[in-house]
Amino acid sequence: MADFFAAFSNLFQIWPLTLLAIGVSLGIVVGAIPGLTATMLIALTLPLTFYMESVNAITLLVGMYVGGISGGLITATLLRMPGTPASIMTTFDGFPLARKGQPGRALGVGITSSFIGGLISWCFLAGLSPPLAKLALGFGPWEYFTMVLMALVMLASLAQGSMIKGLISGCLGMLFAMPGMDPSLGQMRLTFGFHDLDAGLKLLPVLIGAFAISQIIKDAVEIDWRPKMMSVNRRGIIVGFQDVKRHGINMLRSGCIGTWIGLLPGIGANIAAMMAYTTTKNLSKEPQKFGTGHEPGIVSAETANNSSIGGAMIPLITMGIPGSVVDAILLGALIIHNLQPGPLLFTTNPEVAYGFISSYLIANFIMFALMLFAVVHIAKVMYIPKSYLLSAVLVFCVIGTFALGNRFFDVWVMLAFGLIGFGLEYCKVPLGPFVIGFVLSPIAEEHLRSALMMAEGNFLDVFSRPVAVIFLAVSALSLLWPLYQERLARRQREALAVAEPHDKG
Amino acid sequence: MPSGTSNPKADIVLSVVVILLSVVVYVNAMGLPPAHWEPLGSAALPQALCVIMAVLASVILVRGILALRSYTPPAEVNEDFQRRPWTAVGMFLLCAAYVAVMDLGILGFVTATVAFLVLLGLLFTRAARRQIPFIFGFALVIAAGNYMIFTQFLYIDLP
Repeated sequence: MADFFAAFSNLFQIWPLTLLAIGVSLGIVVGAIPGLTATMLIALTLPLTFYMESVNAITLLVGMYVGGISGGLITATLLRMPGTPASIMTTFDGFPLARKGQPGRALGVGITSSFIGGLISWCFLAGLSPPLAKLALGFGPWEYFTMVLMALVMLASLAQGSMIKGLISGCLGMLFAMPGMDPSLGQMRLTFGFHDLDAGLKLLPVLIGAFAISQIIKDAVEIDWRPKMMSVNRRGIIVGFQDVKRHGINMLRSGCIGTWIGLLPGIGANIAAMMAYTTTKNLSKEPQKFGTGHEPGIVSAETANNSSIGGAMIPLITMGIPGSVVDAILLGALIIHNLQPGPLLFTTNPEVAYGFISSYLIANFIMFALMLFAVVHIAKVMYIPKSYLLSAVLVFCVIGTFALGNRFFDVWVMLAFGLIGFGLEYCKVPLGPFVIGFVLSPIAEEHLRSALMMAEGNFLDVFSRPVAVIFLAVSALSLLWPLYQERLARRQREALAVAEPHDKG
Repeated sequence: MPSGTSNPKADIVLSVVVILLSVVVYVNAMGLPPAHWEPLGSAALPQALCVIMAVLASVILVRGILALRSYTPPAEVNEDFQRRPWTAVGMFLLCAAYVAVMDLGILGFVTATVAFLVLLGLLFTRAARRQIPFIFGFALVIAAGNYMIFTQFLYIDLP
């Protein structure tokens, strides 16, 4: 408890609080610009944090994360264009409500829901993380290996799109993490004679390439797109206590759904919002109103997408397993700052572990205040011409990557992964499993090899560890569940096809 | 399970590339020395991944070939702007040239950045005359500003 309060008191100093405010503001601005995402911002900021204290770096990045997810609701509401993928569901009711002449009300409901979603998931983050970390301290190499396996399989099978493509993406990510020195034997592998590959491929060039460069290429194709102007006023932006009470159950339910979805590896805030929205619609007495500017739709989508952030942080700080792509970058930030992610973080660096928790809470308050009072002005950033924006981001990608180790090899890697990322997305291969596979591959390999050495090469030893068996069972279920669903859907389609001619007859 | 709704031709290209990559990596991993005191060795995991990827890619390849006959491209959506794929190609090539001139030591950071941003601005705006002064001003501010921040505040040597 003392560490918890120490982290809070550390945050209430000028520099950390300023960094948090800068992070949230930048996140909101970037989230409000279609085409730029929180992932891109955090990946690009990471090289600048080398020179900061680790707690301050985490504070800045968490602020960006919260701001980035929240800022997406501005364009989703005013343009029917989600600033970030997390806000896709907000467009369904936010935009129609804004079109009805109530843009302030639509934004106000979204902002308040985002804030409450953040608070709900913070309760889970603060309450669950320390005991979960204690539990994870008892994990051995088999438990870690099967946990990573479970994370990768769930990620590939539950992520949007084809499961096979998700699995290929995860395997590709793992494979690209292999070149360089073998951690167990100390010999080079898969370097193909390039000495620049001796140290392996670094996380940041791969991330910046896959997420920022590929996105810039896509945006350049649509360089002539201009958002349509919509006038925004502040009328109705402050949501009263009665409104919060009226939407209370929806907020609580969506917050819990968002946190739970966030906990599952790699399933982003967009899926959390989609599941909460669908649940609210199914439970509603007026489902026909959804999609026409119905407030419960905005509430469920925004509460869930923000609460997924706190949920995704739980496996990150307790076990070192990223719950989303942004969390994979945060994991990279910890490694760059010479910190060991995982359960030991609470004992070796409590200021960082509790720093995550406390900065997440304060970031939500800052986001709420900033969005309520400045959203009308922030909304104007979405009209910045793309030609200037993309050029500046591109230069920053090059310098940021070069600054990692003062070598151009990293910049070439970034460009190459930009093309790879663009190609994969063109073929509808999700990028989430790729990045998380890249991050988790060394952890999986290290633990698998340790486990096998301890078991003298006996793979069946995994069945002597109950927790590892549970993880394996969940992995198998995650793999089989989508196949079962597909079979079920095919049967229903066939039944419908048989029934239709009879009906016509 | 939602199936990938991409173009079967793209799926075929993807699967062929993945299979080729798997073969190249598998063959390269075969040359790694075996482990003497450790059960798994350096080659086992990359080879296992290659086998999994090749099997999965083969499934996509077969599905892509089967879907090729019945595939009809989606109807074109009316958009109020023109898509410019060649602008994206030009941007990427310009960026590669920008990195190359700095990597080869032909130009320093400030000169290369100004030249890159001006050319990119002209490409993006289709060399609109009214934009040219803004593009030059923007290029100078970004190049000089970044140079100042990185060298004076973050102590990073730029080329």
